[in-house]
Amino acid sequence: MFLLQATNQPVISLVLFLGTLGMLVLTIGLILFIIFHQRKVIRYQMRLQHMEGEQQKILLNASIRLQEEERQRLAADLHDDAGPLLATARLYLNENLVNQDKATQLQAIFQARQILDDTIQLIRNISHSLMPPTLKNFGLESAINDLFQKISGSGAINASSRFHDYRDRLKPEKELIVFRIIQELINNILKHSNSSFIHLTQNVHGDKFYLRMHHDGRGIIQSDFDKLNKSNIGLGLKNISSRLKVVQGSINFEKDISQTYYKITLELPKDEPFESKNTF
Amino acid sequence: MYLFRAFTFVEFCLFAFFFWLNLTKPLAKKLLIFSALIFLVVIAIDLTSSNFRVINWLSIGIETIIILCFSFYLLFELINNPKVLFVQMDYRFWIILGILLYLSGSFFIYILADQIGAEELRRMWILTFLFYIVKGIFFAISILIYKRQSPKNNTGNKIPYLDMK
Repeated sequence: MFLLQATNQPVISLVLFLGTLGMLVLTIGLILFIIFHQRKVIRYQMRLQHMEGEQQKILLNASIRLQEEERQRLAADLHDDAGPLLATARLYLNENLVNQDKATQLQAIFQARQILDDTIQLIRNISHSLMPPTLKNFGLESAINDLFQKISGSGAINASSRFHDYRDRLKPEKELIVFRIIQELINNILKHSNSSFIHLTQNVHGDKFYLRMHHDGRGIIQSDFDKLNKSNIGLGLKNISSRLKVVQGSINFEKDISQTYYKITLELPKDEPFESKNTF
Repeated sequence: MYLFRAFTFVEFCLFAFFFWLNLTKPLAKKLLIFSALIFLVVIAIDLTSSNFRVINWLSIGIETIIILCFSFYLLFELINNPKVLFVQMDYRFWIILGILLYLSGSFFIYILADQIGAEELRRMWILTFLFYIVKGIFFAISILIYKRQSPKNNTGNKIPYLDMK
């Protein structure tokens, strides 16, 4: 202050004027920055919410469409396969049978029984494809091993699975969801990839449950999965995304470092140890 | 000039009380108390040692710096823990804005008041009145916003309380 006293009055006035102006500009500038920054953040959050809403709508539509497709397939199986079989069995067992000779009657009964056996097998297959009993009674490991054996058995592709650590089973609801995801992935591999082998491994690391599938055909990487998920095509992949959200899991599509095969990794949080109740 | 010292002291106490009511972090409240003690020491020294004919630039300067710091901190808290979507709809924003503009605008005038001539000071003093008016306007806006957001103004439920036992 004593230094300032020694200088000229105009200098002090200038300092005063510039100081006041500077303080005001700084304060107003800071306030305006805060207001505009906050608006930008709110606009960004609203845009994010809108995008999430759109994505939810797409997933929901995909889920509904898939459900309808499943119902149509079921209706077609029953109408086209089971219906004619039962109608044919009915033809063999008409009222005129009592007027026929014993040999003709016996033949008609055998034919009808054969057709009914075929129908029972058909309905059993439809029922198994809807809800595999192996999954319900013996768990995910048995159901997946069973599924892979059936695929291998067809001769078209070499499919194998190995569970390293499945002492603690997942909850039944979770097992069903994981099984459906694996089914969907396998369907996609069989339909699109033209691969010669599929191998599935399971292990546990920390509190995470991992399932890894390898195949040597044409596959997709994570960026392809994200793109297909956001588009209107790729119903199966959207279904996988919806199911993963339910179990709080994640999926990663990548090509192996050696560039010879594709790898799909499913990661889920591990459950509390589940004790299965055996029903007889 | 006795009134200036009393005015500075009362102003600081009122602003500090406002910050005390609105700060959420215990550490910030402790810092406020510590700063208030420092200010009390400064104003005590000012009262006992300085010339009462000149403006108390030291205590005003210390008060301005302390209040400006806590104003910026409270603004930062308002943005990070918002009670309303837009910060401008929070009544406390307008109080802080008024305090900031008033103190930052009149800081240099008070600090250099006894360095400039009487004529110059008279001209610059008009600015302090201007900033005081701006502070008053922003305080009035904050009262209006508070009144609008007050739960007593909620006209949703007009059913009177009926004691049904």
